[in-house]
Amino acid sequence: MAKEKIYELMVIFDSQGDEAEIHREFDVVQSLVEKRSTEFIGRADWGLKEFKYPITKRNSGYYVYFLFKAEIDTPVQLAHALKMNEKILRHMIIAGNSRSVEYLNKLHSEPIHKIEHTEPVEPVKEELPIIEKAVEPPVENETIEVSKEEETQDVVEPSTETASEITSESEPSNEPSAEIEETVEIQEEIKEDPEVVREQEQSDENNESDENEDNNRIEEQKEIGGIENDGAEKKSEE
Amino acid sequence: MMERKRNPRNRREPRKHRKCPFCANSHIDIDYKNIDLLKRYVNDRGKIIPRKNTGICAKHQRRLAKEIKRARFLALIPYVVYTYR
Ligand SMILES: [Zn+2]
Repeated sequence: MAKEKIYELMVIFDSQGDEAEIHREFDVVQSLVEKRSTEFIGRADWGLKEFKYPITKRNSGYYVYFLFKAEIDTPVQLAHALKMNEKILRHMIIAGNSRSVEYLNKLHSEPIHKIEHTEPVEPVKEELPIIEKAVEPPVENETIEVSKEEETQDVVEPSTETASEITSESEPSNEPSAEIEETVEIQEEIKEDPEVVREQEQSDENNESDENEDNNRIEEQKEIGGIENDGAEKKSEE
Repeated sequence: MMERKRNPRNRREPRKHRKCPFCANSHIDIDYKNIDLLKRYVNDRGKIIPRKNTGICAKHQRRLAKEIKRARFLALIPYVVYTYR
């Protein structure tokens, strides 16, 4: 008996054509998954989403998320079957865990669009005791609050480095306005970074290397994707 | 001829020590589906911000980079953002 695992499958469907037909295609893929999996856990429709870059000359597509338990040789077979489907622009199968089950449960208690744009009503209540002070915390703010707390702690702690003390002492005045400042601060740091300033003088070379880096990254991603993507990537290059 | 002077304002300042926000609250899941979270660790050109600037630990930076790459593959965040000057 082969080993059983949780898998996440994200499928991007072509948005061109009859909408009802596309939605029927969702069910076709679901039945495909159900047939091959040992246990079908659930599905979440993300709806129509704009791509951040065109995939096979399309600018948007329907995202559907599937979660299932299957034996370890299933994803390869499933990927092969999904590649045959012309309505599917791209798909990705990755190993899931208990978090992905939690994610799906959360989604089913609230519709997806509400969770994305406003705070989910019930899930937040569950998390409140952990965060303690946050009144309306969308997921974003949590990390920021933490880093703020830590900065104040840093000031209190007696540090041996005098130089760093001075810089950190000047900071608390900036702190009160929250989220935006934090992110701005990060970007400013990058700009002020002496290395970057120096390197800007050789900007021509730099730009070239930047592009190379990005290309490399795309190739890297192909390799990382492994079974998940190679077919789809080729399509997009055409 | 002209020797390039070192601008004192360009000197590297000691980085303040920051703790990793993901180690501090372990209930935050770094996940390709959580796009709002990933976006904050990518700069305006779409590049992953190095961890020396964000204070993330090596373990979580690895995880973050992985999930960002997954999100990129699914066109949820861009590979490159071209800024024209
Ligand atoms: Zn960490």
